[in-house]
Amino acid sequence: MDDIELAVVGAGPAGIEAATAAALAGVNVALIDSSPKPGGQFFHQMPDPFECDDDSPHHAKGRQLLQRLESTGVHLLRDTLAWGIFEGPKPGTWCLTLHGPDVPPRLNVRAVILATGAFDRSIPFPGWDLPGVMTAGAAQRMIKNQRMLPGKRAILTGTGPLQLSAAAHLVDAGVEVVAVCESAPELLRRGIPHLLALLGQWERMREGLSYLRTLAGAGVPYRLGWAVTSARGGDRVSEATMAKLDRSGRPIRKSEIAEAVDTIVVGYGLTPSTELCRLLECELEFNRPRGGFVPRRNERLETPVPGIYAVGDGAGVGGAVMAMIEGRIAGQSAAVQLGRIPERVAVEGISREQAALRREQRFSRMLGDLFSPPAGLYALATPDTVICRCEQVTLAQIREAISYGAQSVSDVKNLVRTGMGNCQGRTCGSIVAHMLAMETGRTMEDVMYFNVRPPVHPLPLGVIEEYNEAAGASDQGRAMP
Amino acid sequence: MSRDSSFDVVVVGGGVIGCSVAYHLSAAGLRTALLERGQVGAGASGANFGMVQTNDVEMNHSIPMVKASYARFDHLEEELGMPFGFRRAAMLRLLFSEEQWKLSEERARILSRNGIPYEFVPPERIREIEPIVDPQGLFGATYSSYQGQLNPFHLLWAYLRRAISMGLSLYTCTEVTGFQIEHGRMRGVDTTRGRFSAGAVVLATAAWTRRLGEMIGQDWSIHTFRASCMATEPVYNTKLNTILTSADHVEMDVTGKEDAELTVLAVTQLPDNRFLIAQANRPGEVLSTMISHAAPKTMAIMAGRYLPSLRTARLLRAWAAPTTFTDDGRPLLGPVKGIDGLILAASYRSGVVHSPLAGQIVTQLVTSGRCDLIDISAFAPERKIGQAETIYMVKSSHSDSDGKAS
Amino acid sequence: MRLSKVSSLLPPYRRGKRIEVTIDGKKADAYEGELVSTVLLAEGVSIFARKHATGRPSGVYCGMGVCYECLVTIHGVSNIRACQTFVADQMVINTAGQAGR
Repeated sequence: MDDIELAVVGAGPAGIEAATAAALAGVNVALIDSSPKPGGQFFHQMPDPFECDDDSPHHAKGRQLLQRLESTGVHLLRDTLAWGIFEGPKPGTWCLTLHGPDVPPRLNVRAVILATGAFDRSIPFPGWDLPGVMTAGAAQRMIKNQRMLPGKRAILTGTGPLQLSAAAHLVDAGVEVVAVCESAPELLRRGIPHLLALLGQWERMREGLSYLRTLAGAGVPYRLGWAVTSARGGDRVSEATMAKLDRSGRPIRKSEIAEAVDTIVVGYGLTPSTELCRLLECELEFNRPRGGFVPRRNERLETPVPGIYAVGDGAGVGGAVMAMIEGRIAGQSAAVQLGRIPERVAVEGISREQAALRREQRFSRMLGDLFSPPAGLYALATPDTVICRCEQVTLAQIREAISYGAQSVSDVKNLVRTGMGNCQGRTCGSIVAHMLAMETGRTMEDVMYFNVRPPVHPLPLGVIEEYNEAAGASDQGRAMP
Repeated sequence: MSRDSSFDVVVVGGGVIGCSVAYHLSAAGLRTALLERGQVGAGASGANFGMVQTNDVEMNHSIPMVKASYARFDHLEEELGMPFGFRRAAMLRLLFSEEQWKLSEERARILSRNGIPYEFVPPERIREIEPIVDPQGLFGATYSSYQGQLNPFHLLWAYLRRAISMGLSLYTCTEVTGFQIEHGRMRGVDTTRGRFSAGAVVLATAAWTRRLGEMIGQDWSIHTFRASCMATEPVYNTKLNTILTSADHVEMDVTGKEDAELTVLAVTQLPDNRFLIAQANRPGEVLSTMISHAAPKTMAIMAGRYLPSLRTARLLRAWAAPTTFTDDGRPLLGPVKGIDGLILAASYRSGVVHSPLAGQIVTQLVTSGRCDLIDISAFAPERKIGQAETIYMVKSSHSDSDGKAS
Repeated sequence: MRLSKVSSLLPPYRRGKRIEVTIDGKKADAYEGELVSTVLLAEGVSIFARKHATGRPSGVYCGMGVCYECLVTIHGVSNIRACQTFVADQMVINTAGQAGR
């Protein structure tokens, strides 16, 4: 593996296509993913001992992509975490530090394509941190990938197609769903002008309509302009309150309905996983329809950090089709950088993708605009609502930090420790930014985002040391007594 | 956002020195602006252990200053009206040879004579102080009890919060791009957010001071190197009483032989049981905050060597910041000769401990044009900087035969 | 509750080999290929961990290894994400431990 030139981090649709495209152009590629099998969330593959007879077109597409990947000879590093990316020993190189079975602890490459995907955005409300409250992604994964029921009686709150999909899966699996609350304001009025564009995406519409049919068939109310506003319980959630929202997204108190549930599924959309971008001190800009802060990129999908590319949902939420197009573009761009193909060949290849890319950009922008959680939802949290779950920091404490003069999320972090726990700010970062912006009148660009430092996931010091347990030693460099 | 604003004083640099200066000036009733190019504490002030350190002091001229400053910590939380986790702490430095002790002997003599305890501990007594250390192979240790520990972010914000309540204007993401000087008088600074007019400008800018000086033809000989540190999750099965350091070091190449990450042991356990592990030092006049690929590993090697039980503790983050030194070990503190109204307070060996007095000294200089608290003539910015006996420098051991770390 | 239903959204599927694990001292059945979080939910365990600062309970939240709420102790090693760990025969799982070590 000494001659690997390109590392692709993340083996979802974007990463698979990036690695394949680069390999087909003659680049020596390592594709790194922390799961046991490639595919990401979108083309999730069952773990080996499970056997699944899935003859759906979706599954076939995934299989086709993976077969093509395999045929190119890309080095697939599974169960492997790239916990850091550093300036490499030689100029123009990057050093990735890896943790996984049978992989070297560090890999020096000349280019990196980040394809790290996205995760569910969190919007806090009283009781959101009770066991039994989980994200739409978690609920759907439990049912689809592990064939486990998340609970018996559930309510959903959130927005958009991902919530709809989770709801349909829950109903289909036999969970009693008391309501699905779609929080987007005036959805019908704002959606009708887009109907033509939606009809042009018939396949996706068909999927959405079949989910709605599943809900209707089970008599599940799909409440437009509603949200769960609070939850109660002891060791597990036992009751949720939902309410109609006014135009700004704040609850109309006299519309409140309480329901006994043991599960709340929260689906407010996805937010890009930009940890490695931030670790490389790549500039991010705020893009609400694409899920939050995203890296700046040129038309080759290279970030301002030379040799670092970013693609897929990890660079801005846009769905799997866009992710695959972007992967191919970046794979070819990297091949040009590495001198494997002439620029003109890549330019041709990239321009062939432009029409489809623009279509996907328009579509995801429309979805992002239609299904943005309203700002008023950030007012659901009360002073004792926990905002940073890892460090148990409440809204009251965040407000105290603001009263001291905190201007950015880093100031809040330094004062009250939000983002200093295990999840390293993944869950609370966006929430703290919204709260700070709301309470101080500053913009999201002003309040910014948490810095990220290696390791991107907590790791034992022995791993950082590259300590070889068997040898009872580590490669100590030139240790002096 | 472009604006022209007028103040009595502009302080540049939102680190611990700048925040203290801003507080003391605001408390004295001066209309003050504090400008910071990034976020508060973006440099070394937000990247350190929070040590209130007296034993590392430059010994020829700085002892009265560090003692006077340290004494203010007894009441500083009360004065600022905000706790910052200050507690007395001791530092234990492990020695492996008589030669290593000899290098510290003079320091021990001078500090102790000046009321800063710094004593030799024989190996058989080390476990009384720090049960977890295995004394085998040790020549002994030095023990300095007159140290302290605090939360560096909370200290910054204690100064800032009080200053803001007294009228300070804080401008972050505001970088100085030029100086307005007319006929040898300071008139203000130009920044990325417009012009700030003031008759007095204080540079508390540490690693960025040299660059600012070049804008106005000043050659302030401040060197930078990158220091790295890291933090673990809370650890309950290992107890450390002191700030544990060691005279030996480990090296690892970063880009080649000429810039090795030189790592010494420095470990402390915080009240919430997390471990802070330092300190990897990388030579080079670089202002970047990106940690090198070698530093986390070398720091983990040192920690693993002395505290092997920490190998299973999970690391949460490793970071780096540019930090400074001067060849004679003293700060640049005082008015700039030839420019009326420009004052430097830069390149302290240990900003935290010096911050209270730095604020007082600068305030006195601004309001009365002189300092009668202590003699600051040895810190004059225009002085010829020669080498001191003990140099705090980072040199790869490749470049000379007896590579010294402080 | 484990699902055996088959539908258009749930294609036919066979679990791996049945194995045995211990959860908080009690033996339980599991299947190779299942996550620790799956087995805990199947056994009716909602509380996986408690926050070291406040003692508040936490369980599965994100299900993809991002939120660190589902921390359990496995073979004596604490702070392991249950949703990212597959069960193995004779695995010893303990819940509601303290975060940190």
